[in-house]
Amino acid sequence: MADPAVMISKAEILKMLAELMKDATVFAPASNGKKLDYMPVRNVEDIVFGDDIPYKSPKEIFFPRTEKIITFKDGDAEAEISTEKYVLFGARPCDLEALDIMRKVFTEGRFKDPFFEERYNNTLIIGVGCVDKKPGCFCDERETDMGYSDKCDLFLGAQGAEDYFQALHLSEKGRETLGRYIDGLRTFQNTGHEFKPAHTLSIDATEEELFDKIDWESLVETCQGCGMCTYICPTCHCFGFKDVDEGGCASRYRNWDSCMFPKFTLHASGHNPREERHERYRQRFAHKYLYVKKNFGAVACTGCGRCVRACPAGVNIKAIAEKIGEDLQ
Amino acid sequence: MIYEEMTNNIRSVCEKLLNSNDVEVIVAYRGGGVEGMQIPYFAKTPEDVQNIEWGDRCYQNIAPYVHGLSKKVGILAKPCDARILTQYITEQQIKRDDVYIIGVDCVGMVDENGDPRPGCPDCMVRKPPIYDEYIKDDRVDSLDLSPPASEDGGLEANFERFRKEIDKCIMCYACRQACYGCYCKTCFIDRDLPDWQPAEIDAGTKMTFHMGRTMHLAGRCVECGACEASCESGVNVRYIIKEVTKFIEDEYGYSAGMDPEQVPALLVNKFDDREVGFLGGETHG
Amino acid sequence: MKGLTQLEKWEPKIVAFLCNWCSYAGADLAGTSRLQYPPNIRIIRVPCSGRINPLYIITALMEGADGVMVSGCHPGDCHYLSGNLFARRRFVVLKKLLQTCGLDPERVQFTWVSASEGGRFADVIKEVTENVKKVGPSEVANCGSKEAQA
Repeated sequence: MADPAVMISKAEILKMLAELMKDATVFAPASNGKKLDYMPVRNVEDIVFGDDIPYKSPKEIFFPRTEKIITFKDGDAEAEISTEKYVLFGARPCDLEALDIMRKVFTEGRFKDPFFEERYNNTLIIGVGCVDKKPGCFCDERETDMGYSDKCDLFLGAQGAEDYFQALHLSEKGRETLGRYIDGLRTFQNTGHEFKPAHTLSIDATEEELFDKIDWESLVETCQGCGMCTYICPTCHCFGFKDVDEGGCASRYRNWDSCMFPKFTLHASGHNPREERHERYRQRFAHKYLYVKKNFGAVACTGCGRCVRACPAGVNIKAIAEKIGEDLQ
Repeated sequence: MIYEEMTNNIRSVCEKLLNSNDVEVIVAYRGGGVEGMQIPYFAKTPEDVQNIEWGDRCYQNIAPYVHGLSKKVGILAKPCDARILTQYITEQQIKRDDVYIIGVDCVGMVDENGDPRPGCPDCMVRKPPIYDEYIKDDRVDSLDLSPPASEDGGLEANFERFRKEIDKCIMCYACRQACYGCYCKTCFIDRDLPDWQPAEIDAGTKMTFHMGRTMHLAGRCVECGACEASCESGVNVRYIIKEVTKFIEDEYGYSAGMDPEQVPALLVNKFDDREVGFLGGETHG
Repeated sequence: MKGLTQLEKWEPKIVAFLCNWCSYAGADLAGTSRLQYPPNIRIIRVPCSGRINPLYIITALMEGADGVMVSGCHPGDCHYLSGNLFARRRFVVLKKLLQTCGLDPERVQFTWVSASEGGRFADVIKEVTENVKKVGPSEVANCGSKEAQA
């Protein structure tokens, strides 16, 4: 393998995606009628290039909003594992880093999740670099390089002059795809990429300190508890199960859940350990900045800024993390 | 300019209020949101008052924060917020004496791109219906208000439109949380006896949710547009409640949130109510 | 043509919510009087038409009913004095809602049948079945299935 970096044009990328569409579902940034979202596209013309970032993360491809996982019939249970082939095009570095955290959570923990793993393995992930920080983004403070991430099969650097992209293949799958669909590759000197994070936003505290020393109630007093942040977050991965009788058989569905909802922790006894909104927000924050870090070695917030932009009440996780940092000192 | 002047007026009113200890907290707006947005703010001390801001980006409705607060609060209320408070009083959720309403005229809010907030362009109520203190905006008098046109495009077009909007919905319930009227302790969609909780999130369950929510708000919607404004997926099902609200206004003569003494349309009845759409009766035009 | 014959054979499924005190007794009377009416309805007895949550009607449609019929006591006859009067407003609004959502309001029919109107009950069922047949199979019954979404 020589220098893995090549230059490919936008036309070539579109041609490649059109070819890939023949035997896989291609998810790419496209308009849902009002907002930019990772949508299954059937036509390459629908793909939106440019620096705008989709409003919701691509986690849905690997971990759908709703999914039938098991069917029970006559005492047998049968798991329904998807074997469909997917292509994810245009994932941003923040999404890629987040996806890697999701992968760790679902496949490297005590339990493996075959549903996620199978989808992840069957997906060709093509990342794209960002040119500018969008309002609310704080990737550089969360150690995410907006120009590059290696957590994908193929990475396209930011769009250069004349619609050319620097393409780096980072896996066998990516190399093979490039070789198959792009001919006459123009190599260029890969000068490497320099990335210096601004100051790093992280919380060095114990759980007890976070619980006792912080006045959560006044910190997130405007939160409405809508849960929007958890739904569009690239790393939020909580889910719930529901079994339904489907006449003669039963099915188990897995749906997204959100720690921002009071029912999330409601016990059968009626007791709710996190009854108040600020307690639930504390859980969300601690999960991202403490628990995942403890269990999987990475902070589960990549600074994509989606929750900051989406929050109708102006709750800003970056400002909150900074405030907590100050308060703990 | 106008906003600066209004902000100053609001600040001095709030300062007086907090100094007099009549209220414990004032719910208002401050600057400092993403992309220049003004975000909800709870002012608790006279010093906090300097953070309060009023402008054309006070996008969020703040009246719902008053619901469930068990202390005396002051609130900066634009007309839709004032209507929400009126509705809360009607529905006996808050006591009139527990809120000090600083009513403020409103010419409409815009989002971070300068586009009008959903609901603002066809808002017919630009002055707060109830208030204790009133901050005037002269521009309101010269606004040309005309009632919005009906969006009923016939059955097939309506269904097409509904399906299209529903497809975008991810059932995150942000519209419910943003809505002033959705204060049920347990929403019907969260109930498991009877089981309304969807097992699989498909178009049918999304339709049930949105239709059920609309039905719960029928006659209570103050058309603040918070449902559409809060939706990050860009779903607009507000036109449905808009049509229903207009129908209720015409049929039963009730507009939500205009008069604390009036009883909501669906909580009363008359013996000679028209039976529109009943078997063999008149139909919905 | 297979589709056409299927449609010809198609019989609507109609859920009928009947109030315990008038309409259910009316249905009883229609039965004991040996009156003929189409067998398309499935009766659900409720205490009062005011007890019917509009969600029941919406859910019935979503779960595969082609039509829903609701019947209670005549205004003024309600066992609970005013249950049907509250219900009346709710139903009128519900019909407007269905119209706006694009679900044919003809699928949902409201009427009043008293305990002594066995004959009227049979007529009402005939009329409702006719109306729902005219509208055809429900457009939302299959909304949930994956095939319909694609």
